[in-house]
Amino acid sequence: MQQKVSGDLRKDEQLLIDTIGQGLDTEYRHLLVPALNNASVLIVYIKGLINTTELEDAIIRPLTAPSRNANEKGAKKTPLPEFIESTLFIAGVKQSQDWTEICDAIVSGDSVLLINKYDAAFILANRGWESRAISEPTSEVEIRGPKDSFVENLMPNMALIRRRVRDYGLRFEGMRLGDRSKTDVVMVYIEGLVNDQILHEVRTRLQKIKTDAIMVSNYIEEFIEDSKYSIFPKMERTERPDKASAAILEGRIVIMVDNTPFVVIAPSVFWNFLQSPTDYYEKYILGTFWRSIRLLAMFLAISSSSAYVLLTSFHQEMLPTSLALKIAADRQGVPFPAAIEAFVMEVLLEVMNEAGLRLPKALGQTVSIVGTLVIGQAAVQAGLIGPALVIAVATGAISSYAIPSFAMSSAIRLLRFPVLFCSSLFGIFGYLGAVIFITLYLMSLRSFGAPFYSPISPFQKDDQKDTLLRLPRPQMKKRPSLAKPQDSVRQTTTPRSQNKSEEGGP
Amino acid sequence: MTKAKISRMQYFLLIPNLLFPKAIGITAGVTARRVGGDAWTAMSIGFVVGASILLLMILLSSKFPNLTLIGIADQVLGKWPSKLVGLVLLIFFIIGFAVSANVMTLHLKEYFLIETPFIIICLIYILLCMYGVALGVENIIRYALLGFLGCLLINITMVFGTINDFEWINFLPVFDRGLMANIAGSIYVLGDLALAIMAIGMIFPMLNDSNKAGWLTFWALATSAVIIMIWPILELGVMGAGAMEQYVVVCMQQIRCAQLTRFLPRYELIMVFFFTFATFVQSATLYFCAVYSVKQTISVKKDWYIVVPLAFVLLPVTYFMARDHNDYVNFLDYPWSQICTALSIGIPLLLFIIALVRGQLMKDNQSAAGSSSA
Repeated sequence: MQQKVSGDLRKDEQLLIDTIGQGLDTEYRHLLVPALNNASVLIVYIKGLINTTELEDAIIRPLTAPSRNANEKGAKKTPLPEFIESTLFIAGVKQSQDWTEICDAIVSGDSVLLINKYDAAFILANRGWESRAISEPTSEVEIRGPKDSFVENLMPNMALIRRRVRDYGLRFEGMRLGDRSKTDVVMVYIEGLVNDQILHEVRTRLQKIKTDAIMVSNYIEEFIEDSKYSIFPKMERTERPDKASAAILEGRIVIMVDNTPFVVIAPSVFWNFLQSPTDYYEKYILGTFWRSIRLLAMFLAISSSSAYVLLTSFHQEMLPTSLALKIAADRQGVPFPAAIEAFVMEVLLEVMNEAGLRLPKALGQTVSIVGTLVIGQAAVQAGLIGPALVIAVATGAISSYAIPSFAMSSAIRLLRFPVLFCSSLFGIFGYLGAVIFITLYLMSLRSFGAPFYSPISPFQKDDQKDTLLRLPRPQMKKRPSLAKPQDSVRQTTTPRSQNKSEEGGP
Repeated sequence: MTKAKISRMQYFLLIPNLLFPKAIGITAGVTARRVGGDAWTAMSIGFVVGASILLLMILLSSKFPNLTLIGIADQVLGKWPSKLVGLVLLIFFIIGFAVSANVMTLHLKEYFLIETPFIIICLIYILLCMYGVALGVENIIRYALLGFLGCLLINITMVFGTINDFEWINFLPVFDRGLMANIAGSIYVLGDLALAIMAIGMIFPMLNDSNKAGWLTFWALATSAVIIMIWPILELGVMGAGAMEQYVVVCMQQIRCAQLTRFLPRYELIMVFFFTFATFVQSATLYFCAVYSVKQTISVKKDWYIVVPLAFVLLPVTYFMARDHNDYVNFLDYPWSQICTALSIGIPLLLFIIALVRGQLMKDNQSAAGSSSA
């Protein structure tokens, strides 16, 4: 749209009506301003998107108030922009002649003020709409640590970060993406800490997005991530401000999207997805223990049903005799081969999982009971499946939920099927082949230049303090090298060493 | 491919991976067949000789830091002789790959997948290695960490599982067959070391910091020697030379002798689990070296033009080499070990001497990189 504000109020109003329409939610309000010699003005806004109280009290009331100087002869005439800024009690006023900018402002929730015989409009920042209150995170529950989470509104989300990171270099760099949705997207980082090359890369990839709409942060993720066809997520998602703030303090970049309570973090590596904020909120040894449990859980999630199939179908001699006999006795009369049994159980489990997620809580419990009793116990009693398989499948399912990231957990759950298929065909060879294939693939991935499997391979010695292990906080003197921060030093001294020197120790 | 860079640590870890799988899996048995209870001394001699050749290779490569063995041949011998060296290396790496791959396929065929057609096992293994090569040598070498950890875990579990049955008496008399027989028997270890020597000759230019590469290689080789020599020593101590001679895959028999706990009377599966990673690194690296040899010899730009057709060559070679395990063992006994020894000593030494005579070892050869490495 190339037009500019003409200054003819009727003409400008018509142009606005032609552009954004005159729907139920759009308000065109005409006023006379005594302070401007009863000049005719037009305020345009969308009803659900503005703060109505602010509109009445901070915009309309001051504009329509009788002027003290209007009738005074020789009174100094204030220039219009200065008059508007000094009269209206709102956070921001911006003058613009560009129709695109004016229309964008209206649909984004700002009010626009047009004045007769004045060839510019004033964009008045009085956005305000009904929004969910900040509440506890639903998908990343932690025992200790803060209980707040992001909401669907950008402003409170930015405030949640700002409250945690009061660095002067903290930047919220905004852009608007989506030709039709015109969604606000914000890159959050600390200037002077973030790696400029990575920042430039993220910015460039975001600017290259040409699409009609950005509905949620996952859209952004799919547009800008490396290896778009990969099953693995390569950017962390979180609804926890503490986690996002910690990432910013490591020199990483957080991308916020309006209308989404989940932010994405770039770059991220595989091991980030096995870490949880709880690791840092408890003693370091517990953090390390939980991480190792999650690693084991990931292994079990991929391997449990495959191990059952390859051990019962191919390598029975590897089982201890008593266990082999027990499994054989339990499987007596089962009409299906172990591989078919396992596939059917895994598929049913996924169906139950999907049903449980979609249903209301009360019905979800019913699904759990039906799933557990009917499909599990009854199928075993009917001799359709072996009890050992139920244990193997259940172990895999529970293990997959131990992975903190839902996206990674889902990827791992999906990978069970090809691994199971390969194990069913070639026993241990198939299993190992699939594992090597997956690991090689992981090693070949990158997230904004960072090798996805680092710092394990390629091995980064310094980063081992906070990868699988979680060393005490004073030991983590450097920031992770993953995001190549400009300032790699996190802390220089530890309280203990200070005390020692005070006591005259070495 | 030439842009790939590997760190010093990756390089260090690669060397044990290039040696371990075949050395513990097959070589100990072949050596025992020739020198009986002196297998461990013969293998030790082989390591000492092999180490000096590998260090010669490093010395040569560090004088031409950006060139592969074929590139060095191009600089030292000229265009057409270097093509011949490239061809020889290509054949060497193809057969080397088959030798390495069959360490894995024979383990599987003889102990785990007895009824599966051998050609299928070969095919899947080659496809897996092909995938690794397609992803790039950096990714294969990144796997070396997992391979090395796997090697350590096998060693630890094997030592704990067999130490109770260890008998010193099996070692006596030392040098039973005499020194000359031991030296002759060491040739089988040289066959394994030759794979590492030639592969390092191709990969060395990718090392991102070749400072003190000789020491790095020496310590990598010393580490390899320790984790490999544990096997013939324990195999001899537990099974005795007589039993060692009877088996193609001696390490599996050793694992069968081991009992970790009453609940884990047999852990071949666990052993294979750890062992596979190192074997994969060895095979995939040799596959890559074969691809790289073709690339440098005939200057093909696209990797896929070489990677896929080469798989069609590797499959029959791998299959026919070990279709009958006796043929495989006989081939390793003669002529493979002899060929390996001749090539691994001959090529680096020849290039070194000619370069020395021509005074090229004194020059700064850094700038020659671009012209020869494709």
